[in-house]
Amino acid sequence: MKALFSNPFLLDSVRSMAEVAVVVAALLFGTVRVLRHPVGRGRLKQIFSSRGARVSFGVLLFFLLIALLDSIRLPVYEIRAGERRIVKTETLLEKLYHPAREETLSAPLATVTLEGYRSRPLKGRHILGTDLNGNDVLLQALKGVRTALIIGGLTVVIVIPLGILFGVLAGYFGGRVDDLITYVFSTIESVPEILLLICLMKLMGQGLTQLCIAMGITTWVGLCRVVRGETLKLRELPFVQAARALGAGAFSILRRHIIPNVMHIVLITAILRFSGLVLSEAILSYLGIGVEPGTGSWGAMIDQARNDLARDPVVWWSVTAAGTMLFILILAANVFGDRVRDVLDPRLQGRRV
Amino acid sequence: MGAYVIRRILYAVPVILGVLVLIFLLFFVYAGGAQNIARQVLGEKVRKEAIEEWIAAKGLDKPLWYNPRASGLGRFEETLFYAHMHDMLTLNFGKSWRDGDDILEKILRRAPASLSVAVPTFLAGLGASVFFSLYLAFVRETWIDRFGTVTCVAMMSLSILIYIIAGQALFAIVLRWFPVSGYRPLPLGGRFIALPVLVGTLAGLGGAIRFGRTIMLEEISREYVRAARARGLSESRILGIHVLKNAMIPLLTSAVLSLPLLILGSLLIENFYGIPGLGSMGIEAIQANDFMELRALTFITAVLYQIGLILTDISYTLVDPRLRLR
Amino acid sequence: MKGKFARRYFRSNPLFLLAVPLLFGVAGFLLSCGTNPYPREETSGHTYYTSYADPPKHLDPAVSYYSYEATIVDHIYETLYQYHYLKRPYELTPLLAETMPKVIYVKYPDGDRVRYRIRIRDDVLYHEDPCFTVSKEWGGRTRAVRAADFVTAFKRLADPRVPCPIRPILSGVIVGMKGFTEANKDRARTDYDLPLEGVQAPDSRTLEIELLRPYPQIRYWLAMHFTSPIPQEALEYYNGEEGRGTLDRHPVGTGPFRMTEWVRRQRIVLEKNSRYHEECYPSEGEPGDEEAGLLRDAGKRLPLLDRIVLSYEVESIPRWRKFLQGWYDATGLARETFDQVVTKRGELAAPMAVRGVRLHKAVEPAIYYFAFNMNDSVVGGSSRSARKLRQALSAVFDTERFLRIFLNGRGIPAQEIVPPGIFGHQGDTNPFHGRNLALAKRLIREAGYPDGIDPATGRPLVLTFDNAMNNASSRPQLQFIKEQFEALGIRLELRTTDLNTFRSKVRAGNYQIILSGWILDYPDPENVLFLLEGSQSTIPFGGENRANYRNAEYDRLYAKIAEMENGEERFRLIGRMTNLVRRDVPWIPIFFNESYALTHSWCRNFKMAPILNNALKYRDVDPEKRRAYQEKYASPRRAPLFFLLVLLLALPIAGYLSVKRREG
Repeated sequence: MKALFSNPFLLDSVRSMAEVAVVVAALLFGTVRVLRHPVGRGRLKQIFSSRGARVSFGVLLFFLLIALLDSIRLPVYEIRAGERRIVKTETLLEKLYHPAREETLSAPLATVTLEGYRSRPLKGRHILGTDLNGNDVLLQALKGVRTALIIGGLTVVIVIPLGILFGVLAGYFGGRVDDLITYVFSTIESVPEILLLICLMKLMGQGLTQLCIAMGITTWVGLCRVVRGETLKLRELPFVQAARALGAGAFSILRRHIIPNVMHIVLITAILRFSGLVLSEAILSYLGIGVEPGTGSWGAMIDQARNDLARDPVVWWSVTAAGTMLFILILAANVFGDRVRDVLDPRLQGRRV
Repeated sequence: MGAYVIRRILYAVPVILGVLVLIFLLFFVYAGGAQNIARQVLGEKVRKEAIEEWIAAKGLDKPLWYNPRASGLGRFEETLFYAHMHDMLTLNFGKSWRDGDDILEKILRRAPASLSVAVPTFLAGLGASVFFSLYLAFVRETWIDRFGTVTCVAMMSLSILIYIIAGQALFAIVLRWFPVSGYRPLPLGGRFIALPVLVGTLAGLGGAIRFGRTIMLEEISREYVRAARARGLSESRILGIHVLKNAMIPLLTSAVLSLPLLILGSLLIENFYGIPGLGSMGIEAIQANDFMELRALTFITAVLYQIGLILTDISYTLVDPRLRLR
Repeated sequence: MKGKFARRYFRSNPLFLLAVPLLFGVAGFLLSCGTNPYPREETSGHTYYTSYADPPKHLDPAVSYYSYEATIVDHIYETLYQYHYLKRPYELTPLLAETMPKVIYVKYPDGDRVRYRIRIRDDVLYHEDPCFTVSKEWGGRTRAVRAADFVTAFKRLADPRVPCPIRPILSGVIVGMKGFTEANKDRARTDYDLPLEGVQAPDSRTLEIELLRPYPQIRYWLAMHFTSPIPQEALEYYNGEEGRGTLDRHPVGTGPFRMTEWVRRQRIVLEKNSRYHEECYPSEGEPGDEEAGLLRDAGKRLPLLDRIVLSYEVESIPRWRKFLQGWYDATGLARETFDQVVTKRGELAAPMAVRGVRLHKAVEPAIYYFAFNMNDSVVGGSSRSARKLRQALSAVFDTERFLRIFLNGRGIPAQEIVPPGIFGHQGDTNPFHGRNLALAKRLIREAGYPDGIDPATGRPLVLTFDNAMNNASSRPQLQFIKEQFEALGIRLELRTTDLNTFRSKVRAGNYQIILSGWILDYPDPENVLFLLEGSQSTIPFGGENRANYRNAEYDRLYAKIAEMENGEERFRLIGRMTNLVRRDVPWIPIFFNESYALTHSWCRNFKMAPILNNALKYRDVDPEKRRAYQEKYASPRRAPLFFLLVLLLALPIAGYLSVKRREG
């Protein structure tokens, strides 16, 4: 046990596996809950009756799988000073797909580097070529998946409880509480999101966690507004009035009647916000204040590669790979989100949330 | 009407004050006071004297909220919070940390460049989205409609970064319609803003058209449209006049609410196309850790956003006076 | 029925009325744009177009010290001497002086001094400027340069309120300069009536400079803009009061061009100085110049250009694209574009040759290096551990690979700090020149960080690398540097800021490792060796020794070579200094740059001259040729626009058809 915690790499590895286990368990738990519930099952069937939804959900699942593979860190052993030591960790994804490291740029499937001066043979083939530092572009693009999903997913997870709590409080109790909460979110809202994000990132420093927190701060506002609006409507509905007349406490009404009935709105908002978050991450990383350098990020890839577009032959593969991955993920999220919204709340069709 | 306008403006005042407090919390309290700010600007391992010197030079050597060493009202006035609120409300943004220029002067100098891109982008975006959403509503439930909707979702899914990069490659390098980058003031500089405006418009178009189409379709199903049809008006006239008039309110709101998106766009677009406006000033301030500039820019955009909201609300009441009563 | 359908759907459609003219209006505007980045009326005359990436911060010749500022400052201001445009090795020739200086050795009771006596031309006028309205000459528009103006210039260098970067150097040499600074320190404003003992003007055409010790390099300083004459009128007029700005914004010089427009972050325009004194294009050069057509304009009055337009251009892609479209006359060569311009044999690639583009090369008298902050508690100091750590970092950095990847192999790996082509370049090998991983690992173990682990924390040693490499193209370089140093097992933290913040950090001595470069001001080894001399330390003396390296032996040798004329002994002493630097590693020398430039066929008299900053007065362009090129390579391809228009006009037709089908 002592050995385990004394070695930071091993600890890292164990922790990563625990994290993945928690995420998978949470996802499975949620799925089972929905499937067991008769209404939930019906809605799911309805959602998946569209081919677009099935395909986009498949794409999202595939991305999730890549992200999970890239989250499990395994120790790498090396013989150093006669001892077998753990020198670093590597993700499962890197274990499964470990392209050779080249000297510098090479085109997709090329056999020599793209170095006009002295071309040299490559150590391996690269489906999407390599970048200026000889890193495999496909691997980098795949590593971007994890960052994107964490940004989108984790932020949404942070935001949902906050949004529901304040939205429901404001909507249900009204009066001073409502005034205060509405004031807070209209204040935050009136600072343009990107500037607020930039300021927050500047103050907290680069990093994945910081990014999630910053985005949480800017995102809960929208969710809160929607939930508040819905709660205002629900409050006046007969079944809530009836519960109140029967002497149910405010919190039990919130828990039993209000929150379950705003959940569909929350779900829709969350899915549709997801794509916005991923796009923002790319922009912040492009500006150099997103994730730390070295964390795979499509925004950082686009930033790095855009100057290579001036080369001749044009180095298009890096920008294209990052752009396409981003496009596919967002498209899938948008299509799936639209479908969920259409099924759960037909009134909202086509509106931005 | 006048009373309404005044009331509406008064509503905005606490929000603006709130924004100021928020900015203060961000830049002074969260940032951990002058010591940390100095470290952000000067770096971690700077000698203590240098930090003290810098703090004194920038006037940051005051307590945050309350100054026990002063007397009377000075206890509140000789604080960073008072200085911050006072400076911002009197538009005294101070000197830039990175080059010592007066920030207000700098903003005024650079604002025309930003406006000459942002205003046309806003108008072109509004015009194009109205045009195309009317068109999609007109051809509703045909293959063109379906194709158009899918295209919109695809356009929404592309990152603005791709629009910017691909726009330059296509229009300035392959087709050579516009200068690659650069800026000259209008009216001479029309060709410099053409490409940024085009790119900015395209980037926001997908979402705007899709939203517009939904609104139009909602309107079409209303009673008055049926009545107009019964009166024998042509479909394009109904759409182009009656439906459009009623759809303008949500469309305008959505356009104003997407102004922050325009600001984001302007940050990236100005930086990439070499337009010396507020957006590229923002980017430079970010790279230089210049909180003074960021603070001023954040405040100004928040105020502009509030003004936008007020104007929208006023325009509602012009379209539909009943709304004033709300 | 068909007619009824059409009527039902399209009668009196206001959209058409609005959309059609709008569409054509927009299309017409798009068609009229074109790629020309300049106002149309300016595309005339002999105008030279180029770009600048860093906005100049100072145009004050006493303050400005960066090469990107010098290209502007040196065309506006002039000095006593200049380098010959064509001859190599570089040769000083008189510019504002009539002849080369006369050197007199003067005996004083407290030691010998050296006096330079210089005769000044009397036909040189300043640019026309409102500051001369007080003058009685030339109707109050300008006046002739007098010896006293040079005295003013030297007093400004000593003025404690002028942040002159070379003050520490000259203060140690010129008699009375320190005294002038001290005497003015406590005054509210600098008194220019106080004497500066070592710089005197006995009459209006004679300047005398007296030195504390022999310092042959002073001649080179007299060819740099720091010593340009400054009219007292300009100092008094541009004092920053009544909205008049300062000399930093309003240069008043004697040069071939005057600044007529400066829109920040947009452009700078220099116009020909119509009162420029008589100066002619040189009639002799080095072998090969005749064949290269560099002597065609021999004997012509300078300057040859009417106007220079410098456009602000940060990113390398737009710069390159505009060059290809013919909007810039000359450009440097960015890494991204190198492959398509230069063949494997180092010649110009065929597609470029077809366009008439020409390639120019020269080894720069410059060195690029990592500097350690010798005051830092980890990487600095003369302790054995710190020295071994620096040696390890030196031995692990793969210079050759760096050049191959980022500079396409141009440039020469540096084993020492004196560039080739400069006297004192040793040409032997540095034992710690990278990459030698085995040696580096051994050294870092000996430094007390086995495998890069800091025993104090049990975690990898963290070093910081401060830099201003904040544009996209340098991010791969940062990653490369990080990976190279981290091969030792340590961690390198990257701190990227903008240039000004970075500079203030370096000035405050607040860094561990930086990457820096030095372009020699003049072709003498002393000008690079002084960068490590103790009394030049940035902390606490504010000098140029950024590494704050202090070594008594090195300083002693430096003092010797600084006063010597080139010879065997000087070479040997420089060799000893080189070895000291190799052992102590205050710097990791990286490479000596080879610069490449491209010019279009219409550029005349282009010769690479890295030491000169006033080359534009010799250059010329052929506007006709340029226009023909732009016609060919920069005019819009309009066909797709018509296609787009057709597509837009097809919308109503397609709509009509599909709606008709829907209605059945």
